[in-house]
Formats: sequence, structure tokens, C-alpha cells
Amino acid sequence: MRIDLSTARELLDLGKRMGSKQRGDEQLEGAVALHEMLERHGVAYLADEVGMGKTYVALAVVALFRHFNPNFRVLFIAPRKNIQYKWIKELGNFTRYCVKVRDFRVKSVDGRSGRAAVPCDGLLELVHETTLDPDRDFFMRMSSFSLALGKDSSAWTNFRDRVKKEIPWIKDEAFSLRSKEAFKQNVGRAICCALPEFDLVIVDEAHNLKHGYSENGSARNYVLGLSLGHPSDEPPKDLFPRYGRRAQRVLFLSATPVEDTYRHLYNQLELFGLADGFERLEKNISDHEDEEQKALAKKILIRRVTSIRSGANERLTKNMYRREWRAGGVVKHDEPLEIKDDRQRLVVALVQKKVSELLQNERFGASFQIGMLASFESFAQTAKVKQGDADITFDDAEQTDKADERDGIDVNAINALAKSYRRRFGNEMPHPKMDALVERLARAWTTGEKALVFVRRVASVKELKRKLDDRYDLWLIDRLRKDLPGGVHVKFNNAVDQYYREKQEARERNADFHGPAKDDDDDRGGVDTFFAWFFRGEGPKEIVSGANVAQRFKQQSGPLATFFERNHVAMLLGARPGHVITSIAGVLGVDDAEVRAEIQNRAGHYLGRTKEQERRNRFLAAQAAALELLRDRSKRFHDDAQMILHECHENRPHRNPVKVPRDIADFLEEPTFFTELLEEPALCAQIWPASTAVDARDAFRERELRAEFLASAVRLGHAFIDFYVMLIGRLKSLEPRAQEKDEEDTRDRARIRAFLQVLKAQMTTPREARPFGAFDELAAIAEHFDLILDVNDAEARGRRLEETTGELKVLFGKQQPVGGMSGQVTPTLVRQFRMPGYPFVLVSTELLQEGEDLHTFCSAIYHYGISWTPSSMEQRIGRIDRVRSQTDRRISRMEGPLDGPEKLEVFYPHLQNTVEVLQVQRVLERMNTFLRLMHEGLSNSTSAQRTIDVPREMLAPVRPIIPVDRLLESAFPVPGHIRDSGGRKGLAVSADFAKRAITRFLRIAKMRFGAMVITWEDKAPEGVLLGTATLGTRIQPFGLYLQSHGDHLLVRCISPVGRVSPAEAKDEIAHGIASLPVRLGVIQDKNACYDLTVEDDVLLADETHDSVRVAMLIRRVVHQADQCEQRHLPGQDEVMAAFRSGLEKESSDGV
Amino acid sequence: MTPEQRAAFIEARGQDLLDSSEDAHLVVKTRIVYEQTSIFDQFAGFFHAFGCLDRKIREVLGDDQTADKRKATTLLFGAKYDSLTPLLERLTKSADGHDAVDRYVIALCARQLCNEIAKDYPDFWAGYEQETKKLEELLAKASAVRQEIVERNPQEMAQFLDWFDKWFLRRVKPREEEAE
Repeated sequence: MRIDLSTARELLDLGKRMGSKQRGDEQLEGAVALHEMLERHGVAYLADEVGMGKTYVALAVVALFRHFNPNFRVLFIAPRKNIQYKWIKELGNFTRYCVKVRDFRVKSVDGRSGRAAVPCDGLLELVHETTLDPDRDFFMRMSSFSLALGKDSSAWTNFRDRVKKEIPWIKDEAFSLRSKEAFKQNVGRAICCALPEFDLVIVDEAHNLKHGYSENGSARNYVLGLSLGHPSDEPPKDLFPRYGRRAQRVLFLSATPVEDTYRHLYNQLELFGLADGFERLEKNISDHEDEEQKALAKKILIRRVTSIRSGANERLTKNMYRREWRAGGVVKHDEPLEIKDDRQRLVVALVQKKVSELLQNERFGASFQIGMLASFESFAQTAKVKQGDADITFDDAEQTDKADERDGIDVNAINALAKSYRRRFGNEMPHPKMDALVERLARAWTTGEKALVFVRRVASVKELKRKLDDRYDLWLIDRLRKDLPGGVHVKFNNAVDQYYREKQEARERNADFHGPAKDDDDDRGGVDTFFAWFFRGEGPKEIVSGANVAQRFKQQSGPLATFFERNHVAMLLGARPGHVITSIAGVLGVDDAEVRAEIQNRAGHYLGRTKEQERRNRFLAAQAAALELLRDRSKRFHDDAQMILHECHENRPHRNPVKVPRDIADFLEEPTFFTELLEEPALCAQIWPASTAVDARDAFRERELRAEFLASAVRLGHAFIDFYVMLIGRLKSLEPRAQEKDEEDTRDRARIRAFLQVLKAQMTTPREARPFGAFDELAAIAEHFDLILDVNDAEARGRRLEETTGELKVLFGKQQPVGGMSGQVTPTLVRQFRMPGYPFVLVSTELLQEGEDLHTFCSAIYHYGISWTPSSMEQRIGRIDRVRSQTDRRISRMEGPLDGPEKLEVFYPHLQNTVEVLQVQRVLERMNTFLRLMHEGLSNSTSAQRTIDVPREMLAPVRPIIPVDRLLESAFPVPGHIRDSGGRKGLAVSADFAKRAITRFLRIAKMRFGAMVITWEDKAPEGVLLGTATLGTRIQPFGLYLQSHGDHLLVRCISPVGRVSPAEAKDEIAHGIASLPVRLGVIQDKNACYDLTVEDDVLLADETHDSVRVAMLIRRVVHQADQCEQRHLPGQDEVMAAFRSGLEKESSDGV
Repeated sequence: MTPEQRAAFIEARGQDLLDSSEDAHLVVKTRIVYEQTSIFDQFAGFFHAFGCLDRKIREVLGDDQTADKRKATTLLFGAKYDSLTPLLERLTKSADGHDAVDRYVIALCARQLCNEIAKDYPDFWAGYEQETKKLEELLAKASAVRQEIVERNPQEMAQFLDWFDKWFLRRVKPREEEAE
């Protein structure tokens, strides 16, 4: 049944995540149309262009179904792991920001999804999890259906045993390993028997299934089809009872549903047994019948065309706002790469000669695989690279079945040449294309403009990164030589020499390339670049290196320990450092001495052991003490002081105060970067703007978060170079002694002012007249702060502030100017690329082709190694061409006509005088064909050849393949009737349902619980009650959480035991609780304030029974938690303050 | 070359390969579209053209020593537009839009072709003493451009070209083990 658009609007608002209300409305129309198609045909295909937010539209479709049917069961299938987890993350964001009604179905009271999200690592995990509890949302990976078990027979046996364990009721004879093909087939059938029925299966990047279901085709497609009960298969009923269709409806998502024939669309439908009535799509038919195919596809397919409206109100489709460099050059648009140097030209000629000889060999039939000649990317020696279980040369090697071609037919010949050249001349053979690209990308050090580079040859990732790193070193060292004072040059040059020595040694050991850094490692710097060596990790000894300065930021003592702290008291009072104590005294009507005494008394509660009494801790203790004083004795500042205390110091107070020095109040007069920044309003507005939030707490939290981002950016990235230069400019020495001397006067404002001057100078100098600097990075972060949070750290908005520093240490940590990725996605590198600053260049294989959004600060993509399908090329470009992209923002602001450099730049670097030109020409032709097909519904006769037939192509004249330049119109728009009134009206659950439920829940705090005395906390997140139960002489904190189960309200109670290290006492803990009517919770976060909880929940029935039911719940949970605490933590009896942050967090990310 | 390939080749390069304009009538345009830019202008085009020539000669000569060698003779020593000798003559007479590097590469392609035919078909080669002598002279003349390249890049170019020549003339085969 159709849902009226107005009803959908009552439930959902997609505009909040789409950048504009209009875009949100359009997407909602799409969701309503897809909902109707799914109801009518059981299948729908969302083929919106890349970057328009298909994920959100699909989630909106699920929401529309689930709101009216709380039992609606969904299976999500994503192509690979990173995208699988991205879906889970986006489900959280979608529910929180786009679902307007807490209906306890789509959205629970705490803003989370109504159903738990379950990522499954494999098919058997899916069976396991759906068996445990089928009423959750399951997220699978497409690759899991491949059953790739390799050649090792023990892997097959192990897998068979696991299958039998998970599905023991299928007879053993079904799992004979005599034939691996038959085994896979039977596993698919057995999985189908074990799975529940899904109301909807969502297949992301469904074009991957374009070759369809076939016993002899892709094993992945075949097993997937069987697992969901492909109707063409009729297995023996006695062996496979319950085999049958498992997907009631299927929603396909892909921006590129076909390459060049509608048969691809048919194949995808047929794989799920949904092709009845769509048979005509399968046929290759003449042009005039194409229209019939198009009309048929329209029944189930929707495609919207993305467009940007320029400031001049001109509507531009992607072909209009992209500038393609089709001639191959990277310097001047529409010009080929130029090789002027004779030696380079001769090397190119020689390599081409060898390639030509190979192509003329009968073995290759004068043809080659697109993108799979190593010489197109490099003349350096190509070694195979380990990826997964295989050694490979190119990514997407499945393009061909021939071993020669998979390895690259020219690899051996080029390797022989490269080796000989290096032996004879002592360096690598020049590769004009690579050298030109490196030259172009090296502009980034001064422009700050990011670039995304795709390669096919896996070894090119390392090679390009190495060359770019070398170029970066030259730039950085040269810059430091220019900017550092003359007196330090000798020492600095010695350090540079040492770096090159160490780098050379590492290269000889082949240890200079560390690959992507792991998030959990400490930063050891390394020799990838001079930045890594000199500014990160431990750095060189006996010199004030960047790393040395960075360490001082982390230390608790020294002036840099508080450089980026916020003097909240000064800010709250509007007082300048130096006048804070007097200002407090004025507010309280007392003298300075009394304020000092109060601060001294109170600060003791915020300082622990002696070693904690270092500069930073004292500064924070003085802040907390003053805030406490204002809270207790000033009506005017009570609320704000309480709020800041809660946000920043809640976990710090101790029962027993320690002695503190008399002058601790002096720390209130401490200037910091932020107190001084406030004195520079213009600069402050650019890099640390005030929040526009109405709520004081929200505004404070935003400002704090912004401050933490700013500080992390300065301490850990490109901006740190400016800071270092400023500091050494003051010291005029690289001797460690000079630094110590400089730090003796710890209140020196001069350091702060000097850095502010650097930022101001950059702010007031036009961008064209200076290189990219600290100001640019900080201003970009400030301007796009919400966007950065959305794409990189949406959880930050709900996280406790004190946890932010740790999170940002990872987000900003181990920065490198050039990132390389192959094999597996490095999440931190991807997140860093989504922010201004490092990495400026990201080189990747097809790994990043799908799923990861890289659009926020990048407007240039380089197809250094070309992919053979238009869909792959489009998917790649789609990484940076998305809603809210840098290009989108730039063009929307423009007032004049759109010229070249403002467009999204797409490069196809290639040399005109090589056969590479043929493959580029072919791919560009196919890209044009794809555009025509999708936007005008015209089929065409170009076959999907993945090889280049050299003689044939040679004879065709080389003519430029001109990009389509007119406004694109989709061939598959949303049907017009969706905008007409009609269909189901009115929500199933009213918008005030949650409000009433919360009111009912909060009444619990006013109830009596018999003999049990409970002290309730004043503040807690919505839908949460925090309390402490008195149990005789002991106390036990706990939290109550309002949740739902189906249509019923549910109250969950969690009471923390403390930090018990449950893994070490597993049996003892389990034994102690085994017979009791409660559950144990184990928290695996080593930084959590507790790691063991006792929990239980109760459904709410008639409201009159709430007090009895909840009282019983609390009693059994806190009693058992206290018993546990006494058993495992004898002598302890923790208070709420010790657990509060953890209990609050349970509402935001607890299970 | 197949008839189609040859027609296309002639169309693309025929005019340029002709020494005199009176033979222009021999060129038949079989394609309507003619673009100035062609892959034949580039290295890849040279190699492809020489590859085709080499294959055609070998097809004619075959394994059978009694085969009709006239066609091969024409391709190597004849005066037709697609024969090797006129190409070399033309290369030695004028730059014809190609710079020294292009001309040197073409000369080396011709050198490689001659070397390999002479080695693989010694009897055939020996049977055309005068013609091969002329070819050798033309090759020597064409290779003089080497000095031009060295002179404009005095540093290490001679040494580089020694290495270059060796690798250029050594035909590579699939899965060839690393040399040296």
C-alpha cells in the first residue's frame, strides 16, 4: 500500500543529513516511490547517481515499512567490511537525526534505532545470530557468500564441521566434500533452510551481481541465490526441508546498475528469483525496442540526477561541473603530457618497443587487458604483492582468467629492463607519466589542495607514495632552512644528514615504508618523511626537534602543558587572566584572600597523589575549585558553573582532600591560547567561533569540542610546522638548554602572542600570496566543523568531553602528507583525508572505489591506473562527488560563470605516444555510452570488451572523445503521482507517544520503594534515571533506562560492580551469579570506569503496577551488584560519581 | 597486413611515406574520416608498423626455403610505398616532421628487422647481396642521427645509447627470464 507523502514527512526529515531541505524532500519522494514499488512488485532499484545519499533513502524505506509493521525484518548486504560497518554507523545517524518521531519501532526513546544492529562476519554467523534472535537488523558482506576456502583441504573440513554444528538438523550426507562445487551448492541450500524469512533484503552496490545466478558462473552469486532460496533450484525435500524463498522483497542500490545492456539489470533481479515479467530485459534487441525495455525498467527503477545550483542560479549536472583532462596531461587542461627530455623519450620508446614485441607474440593475440600493463604505471621493478591469500600484481585481477594477463604480460620484460638500468646507471628508469603526476601532486604542499589517486598496479601505491614523500622532504627541509633563524642551521643540517642516513639504511632493509599506521600503536615516527622523523614520535636526540616540542604538549608540567587549556573561570566571568581572583571576590562580595583560601581548600578534592600535583593538574584543580565556589555561593553563576563542573570535572572530586600549595589560586590567572585568542575577535571568529546553540550546555560543549579540534590540529599536523618555526624563532637555538631557559617563565604570554601573530599574518595575507598554513587548516576546520563531525566523529556530540582528547589523539594522530592504501582500508587515514591538512594525497587501489566518502575537502581525482568498466570509473569519481562536497560548496557560492579550475577535476594521465592512449580512448567512449544509456535510456551496440585489440584500434584514428556537455535528464525519474495526495495517511504511533512514556518513566523517581531508600540524581540524559540505593550500611549506584520491546515499554536496570577484570575471574563470576535471576554485563573497554555490571529488565504493563515491578527490578539488581562488589572487590563501596560517566554512556551506546 | 589494415595504413601514412607526388594516385582513401592525429605518429605506431612488416615477410618466407620470395623481396628491397628501402631513403633525406629521437627509433626498428631476417633466413639474405648492401648503407646513414642526439645531450648520452641499443635490438618474448 502506498504511503502518502505528507505522512512520510511526519515521520522523516532527510534534509538534516542532505545539506538542504529541498534535497531531503526529493529523497523522501524517492523513498515513498520505492516503498510503493516494493509493495507492488516485490522489487525496486534505486540507481541515483553516486553521492546523493542512497543509503539514507534505503533506510527511509525501511523506516516507512517498520513504522507500520514493527516486526518488519531486514537483511542488509554490503560489498565489503568497511561498507558493512558504514551502514551500521549510518543507521545510527539516520535514526538519530532523520527520524522525527520516537515511535519505539524505528526510533527508541534514547534516539537509537529500535532494533539492534548485528554485523555478521560470515554466512554461519548470520545463521547463528538469526537463530539467537531474528528480530534484529543483520548486516552481511557480499564477499561472505563466496565461501572462499582456498586449496587447503583442512579449511574445507573445518568449515563443514562448523556448518554441521550450526545446522545440526541437516543430514550429514548433504555435506560430502567429494565435490567442492556440490558442497558449496548444498551449503547454500542448508543456509537457506536455516534462515528466517526476511521482509526486505537490501543489496548495496548491487552492480557487483550483474553477471547473475548461474551454476557455472560466479560462485558468490550462486551461493547467494541459493541461500535466499533461488526458485530454479529444487533440492531433495528430505535433505533440505524448508528450502524456499527467503526474501519477500529486494531493494537494489547502485549508481551504475548496468554497464551497457539492460541484461545486467535482468541478471540482478533473476539472482533473487524476481525476474518474472522482466524477461524482455534479458534480450539484446534492436534500438526501436529499446524503449520497451526502458518502460519495463521504469516500473522498478528510479534514478535521480545530481546537480549543483551555482550562485548564479544555473543548474549544473555532474558532466557540467566536472572538468575532465582527457588529453592525458596534468599541467594544462586538454593538453597531453609533454616529454621534452631525450633520455625520457628514449626510455618510453624502449619500453613501448618491448611491450609491442610482447603484444605481437601470438600468445597474446595482439591484445591486452585494460589497465593491466605494468609499464603504464611504472618502469620500476614490479614484485607481486601479498593481498589476502594471494600474491597479486593488479587489483581487480578477476578481470581476466589468464595467468599471464593477471600478472601483467609486460612485467617480466620491464623488470629485466629496470634491473639492468639500475645496475648500469645507479637509479630508477624515469617514468614520464609518474614523474609528471608527482610534479603535479607536489603542489599540494603549498596549496593544501587534496588529491585522490587510483592505481591498478598494487606496487604503484608504495612507489608513488615513496616518490611523493621524497618530494615532500625536499620541500619541507628547504622551507625549514629558509624559516629557521640562521644560528640554528648547522645543527639543523646535521639532523637532516642523520635523517637521510637513517632513511637510506631503512630503504636498504626495505623498511622505510610502514604501510598504513594502526590506530592502537604509539606513534614511533619513522622515516617515511622528514615530518614523521622530526615532528612525530621520539624524534632525534640532543636537539629541540618538533617531536621534542610535541612531547612537551603532552607532559603535565612546563608551560606547554596548559598552552591549549581553557580558563573556564576567566571566560565565565569575562575577566582577563590577572584579574580573575579579584573578579570572583567582587562577585561573592569578599576579599581576594578569602577567595584564595577557598580555592586552596576546595582544590584538594580535585588533586590526587603527589605526582599528580603537576602544573596541568593544578591548573585544572584551581578551575574546578573556583567553579565549585561560584556554584555554591553565586546565584548568578550557579547554573553555568554547575554545568561546566559537570561537563569537565565530574569524575575528579575525591572524598579525602590532599594538601595543596597556598598559591594554587594563581593558576586561575594563567593565560592560555584561548584566553588570548578571545582578545583577537577577528581571528577568533575565523578559527574558534562562538556557538549559535541556544542551550548553554550545548553551546559550551560545542565550543569545547572546537577547542579540542583546534588544539589537536596544531599539535599533530601540518599546522605544527608553523608553531615550531615560531618557537625556534624565539629560542634562536636548537639546544635543549635554550628551551628549558625559555620555559622558566611559565606565565610568559609572549609565546602565545607570537603564535597568534603568525595566524593573524596568514589571515590577513591573501591566500595566493602565501603557502597553505596553520590558519587555513584551522579556519577550514572551524568553518566546516559540523560537516567534519558528521562524517568523522558524529558520536563526539554525545561523548563526555574528557574522553574527547583520547579520541582526537587517534583521529589526528600519526599524520602523514601522503597516504597509501592497498589490501585493507585504514579507517584513520580515511578520516584524516576527510579533514583539511594531512594527508594531502591519498593513493589507493580499487579498495577505496566503493563505500568511503572522501568528498569533504577533495576536488581532484587522478585515474593513474585506469579501470575497465564505466561503473568502476564512476564509483571512483563518486568518492569525491557527493552531497556537501568541497566542489558543491565552492560552486554554490560562486556568482559568476563556472570556469575550469573551480570544477571537480578528473584526470586521466597517460602518454599519447604509447598504446595506453588506446585503452583510455576505449574507456572514455564507454563512459559516454553509459551516460547516454542511463540518462536517455538508449541502448547501444558497443560490446563490453575488457581487452584492447591493438591492430584494430591502431587503425582507428585517434579522435578526442568529447565529454557529454549538455544538461543530463534521468531516464528513470520518480513517478509523478507520488507527489499527489493519496495512500495511507496518519502515523501508526503519535508524535507525543514518547513524551508520555517519558513522563510515566520519570514518575518512578517519585515512587516509594518500601524499606529501600533511593537517592536520585538531579541530572541525567533523557530516558534515564540515575540513583543510589542504600542497602543497610552500604550503597549501590544504578541506572534505569527506558526502552521498548515490540509495542511494549521496557525498563532496564544496570548496576556497576566496578573494575574486576572479569576475563581473569570468569568461572568464579559466572558461578556466583548462575542461579540468580539477573544478567551480567562485561565491558571490554579498558578505559571504562567499570567493566562488570549486573543488569535486568522488566516490561511495563498497566501503569498502576509500575512501582511494584520496577521496585522488584531495582532490588534484585542492586542487591546482586553489591554482593558481587563485596565478593570481587572486598573493602570497596563505590559512589555514583565513580560510575556516573559510564552509566550515562549506557544510554547512548549500550546494547 | 590484411588488405583492410594496409588500406588504413596507406591512408594514414601513405602520403608521408611517398617520396614523390606522382605516385599519389596509388593511394586510395577507403575511409571517410581522416584525423591528423594518429597513433601512427607515435612510437607505438612505428613499432606496430614494423611488427606488421616483419610478420608479413616471415609469412612469405615461411619455413619452406623454396617459397615464392618475390613478395618478401618487394617488402624489403622494393620501391613501393610500403617497402623498407624507400622508407630508409626518405628517413635519411629529410626530417619530415620527426625529430632526431623519432628518426633514431625508426632506424633501430629497421636495423632490428634486418638483423633478424638475416639471421633467421640466411640463404635468402645472402641471395640479395647488392640489395642488402644498399640497405646496410642506408641503415648506417640513418643511424647517423645518433650523433645528433649525443651532441645535444653530451652528458652520459653515449653511454645511455649503448645500453639502449642493446636492449632495443634484443627481442623480448613472454616470460623471458631476466637478462644480464
